[in-house]
Amino acid sequence: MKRTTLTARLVATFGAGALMLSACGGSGSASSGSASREAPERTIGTIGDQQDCGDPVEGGTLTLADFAEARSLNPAQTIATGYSGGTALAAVYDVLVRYDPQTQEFEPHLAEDVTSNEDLTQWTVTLRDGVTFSDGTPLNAQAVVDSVNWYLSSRGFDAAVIAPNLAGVRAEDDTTVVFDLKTPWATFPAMLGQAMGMIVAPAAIQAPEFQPIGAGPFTLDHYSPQEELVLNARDDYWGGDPSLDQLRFVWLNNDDARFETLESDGADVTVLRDPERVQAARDAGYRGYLTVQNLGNVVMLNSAEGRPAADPRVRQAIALAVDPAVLNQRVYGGVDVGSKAVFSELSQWHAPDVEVVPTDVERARALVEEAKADGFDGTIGYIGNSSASGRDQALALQAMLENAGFTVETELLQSTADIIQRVFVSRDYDLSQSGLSVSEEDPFQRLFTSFHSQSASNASGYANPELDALITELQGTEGKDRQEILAAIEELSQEDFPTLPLSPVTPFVPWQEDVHGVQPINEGMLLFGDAWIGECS
Amino acid sequence: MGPILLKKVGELAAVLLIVSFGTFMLVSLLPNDPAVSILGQGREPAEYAAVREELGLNDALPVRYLDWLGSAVAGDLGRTVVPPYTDVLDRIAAALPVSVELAVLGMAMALLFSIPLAMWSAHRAGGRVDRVISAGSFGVLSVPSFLAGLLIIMVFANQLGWFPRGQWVRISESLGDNLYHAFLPALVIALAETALFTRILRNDLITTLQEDFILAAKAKGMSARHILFSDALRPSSFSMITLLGISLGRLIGSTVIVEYLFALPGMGSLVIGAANTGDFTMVQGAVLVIAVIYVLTNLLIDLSYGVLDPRIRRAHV
Repeated sequence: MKRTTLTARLVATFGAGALMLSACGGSGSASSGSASREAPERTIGTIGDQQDCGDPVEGGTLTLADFAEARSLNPAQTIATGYSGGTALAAVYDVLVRYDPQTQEFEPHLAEDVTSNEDLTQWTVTLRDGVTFSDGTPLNAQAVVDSVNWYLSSRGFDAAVIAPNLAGVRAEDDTTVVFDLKTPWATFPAMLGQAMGMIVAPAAIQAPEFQPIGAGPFTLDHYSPQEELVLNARDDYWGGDPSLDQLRFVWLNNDDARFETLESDGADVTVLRDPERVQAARDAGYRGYLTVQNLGNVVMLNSAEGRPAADPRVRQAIALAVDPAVLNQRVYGGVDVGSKAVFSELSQWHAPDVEVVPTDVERARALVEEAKADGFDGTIGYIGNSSASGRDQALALQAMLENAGFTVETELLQSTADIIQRVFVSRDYDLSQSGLSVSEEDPFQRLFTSFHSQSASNASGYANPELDALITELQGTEGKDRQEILAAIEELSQEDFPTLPLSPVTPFVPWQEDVHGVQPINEGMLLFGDAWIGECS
Repeated sequence: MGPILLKKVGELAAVLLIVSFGTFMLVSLLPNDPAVSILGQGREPAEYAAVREELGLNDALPVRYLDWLGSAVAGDLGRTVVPPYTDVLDRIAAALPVSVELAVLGMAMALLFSIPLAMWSAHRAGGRVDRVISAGSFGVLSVPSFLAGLLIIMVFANQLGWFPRGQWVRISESLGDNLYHAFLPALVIALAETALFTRILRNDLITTLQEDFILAAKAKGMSARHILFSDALRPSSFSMITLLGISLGRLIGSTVIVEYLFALPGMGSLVIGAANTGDFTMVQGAVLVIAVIYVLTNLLIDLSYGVLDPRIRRAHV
């Protein structure tokens, strides 16, 4: 059995050497604030027998029990990650660039080539000849420029990180697009692998209402909200006719249901994030793809003016009151890697010398009392998911916070999409269960969108010039040199708490024995252009 | 019959007005700013103002209500204010059949189970069978539906693997697959209703079986089965039918627990999802439709009494 082990050695991006890190999980040297239980070993990357098993079988419908519903196939309205509907977008639009877990680099995909100048302030994308959108129009440089400008003017989620850094985008000739940046940006290609790199056809944005027309391997058949999204394979896809006839997305409410549906053959592929369910799927021997996301499970602290967590004492009290080891035991039966570190022991960016905030209820109480003396009424709202683990987490957090003197008003929402709308769109919350999903391959991006004061997608409302400066420095730094900056970010985070990390998440995408050719890319998304269902010949 | 019908329709229209006004006001009191739900945070104040103006949110509440009501009467419930951006009526048209089917199937199963059980129980009132059925009914009634649902999922979906958990197949796609996917959710609904119907029908049957006309039937030598089915069932079914109507109307809007457990795209999921995301037009439209169905169901039930019992018909005449 071939097993690709990338244990916590997901390497940085372009130009970075393969940085090998040991499987820090299971280390007994947990720093203060980490779960005391030994964390299970994590094998990061593709798991199971993935070798070529003959000619693809043509036909069939592949059902993906996806993590969250793409409530719109408009890339400017849906966050393009595998945990917020991004896989459906990638199926319709494809991506200019994709992250390859095997090479641990961003590789051209819809684009033929991506290069930068010496100081990383200009990136040139060369397009493939002959690529067309599903409406038959050509995907040329002008279409890319129009799509990018439309995405930015529509204020898509990633525009928050791109717009402040982009001086302009232009078509140099029919197949060459040039991105001029205001500042050096080492991991800019990562942006071409997400929503901005999902190029929409001119007709998609010229119509009075947005039409999902892309250059991906599938086109929209029908979408029934809260029920299913069905895509049909294109016979003029640039990468060759997909083997599948259809790709079907369904959305179940939690990992329990998703895993059970996979177990009962109700789905061919699913996405799991709950540590217990991930472990169960691993134990059951499923093939699939496992990755690490830093800040995968956090309590979002709304630091916007008027919210309780705008007071640094309240943020610190929350951090001191919460014990991730207790959460790990109560919620995940001890299989999680509870840690208040931004980059836990599982990450290649872990900073072992930075002290993680300890659990200290007495200090937390004192801080809450101080805040109350200044007018804070002690009441704080918490939004969680109504899944079993979401409920357990809400209960455990409520108990710990109330022990420190807070009065917690808990509200459990039905689905991840509901939380996304409430927290990231309306920003109507005090505290919320969430995942910021800072990837190993490009930690800059989510750190910027989540915490930089210039980010329009900063749903935490946090603003700190010191952190801004560190994030900007990170942006222009390549490879291993980023370690020092990320350690400084860790240190600042442990003092001022832009968010409260609870644990990294190791999402697992398991698939059935007869599923082949699923291609995991960046941000947890999957490509299905080469996927097929059938027995090996 | 005509004046009665007119009176009933008038009463129901008044109920609908009150429900729609109440819902409109409650939704309007929500702290969410629809403009923020639509645009997200961080936009220019002028952009929010433009959206509010476009949605008519700057008008006085009564004016907004009348505008909305006028459109609703004309069949336009507006568009959703959070993705997916569609007509509210289209979303309801997709969700309603799911809830209606679940409710109807659940009720049908409940009737299928409860009528024989109630007859058997009433026929042997006070006996061992009656005591077992009564104890079973109370037992089922005391189990919350979410727990019953989880148990049923554990046994029939997870352990035995006989039925799927989650996903919905429309009747238009495949009737067989539709029933296969609807069976477990409908069973969860049917359990509690079966217990309730059984208790109600049993008690009414026992009363009916003590009537003189039953004694006369027995004196004529009619069999127990004939008496139960032909003579006692119909006059004993009023309470159950009333309950059936109320339950059917209630279930269409409140199968949310079952819909959640099985991830079904019905009205419950629609309303809860819309409320959670601040989609006020969706909430208003869905509640109005549920209210209409509820009152219409009860109107039909009221009218059915006359069909079932000629004495009621004659009394009105």
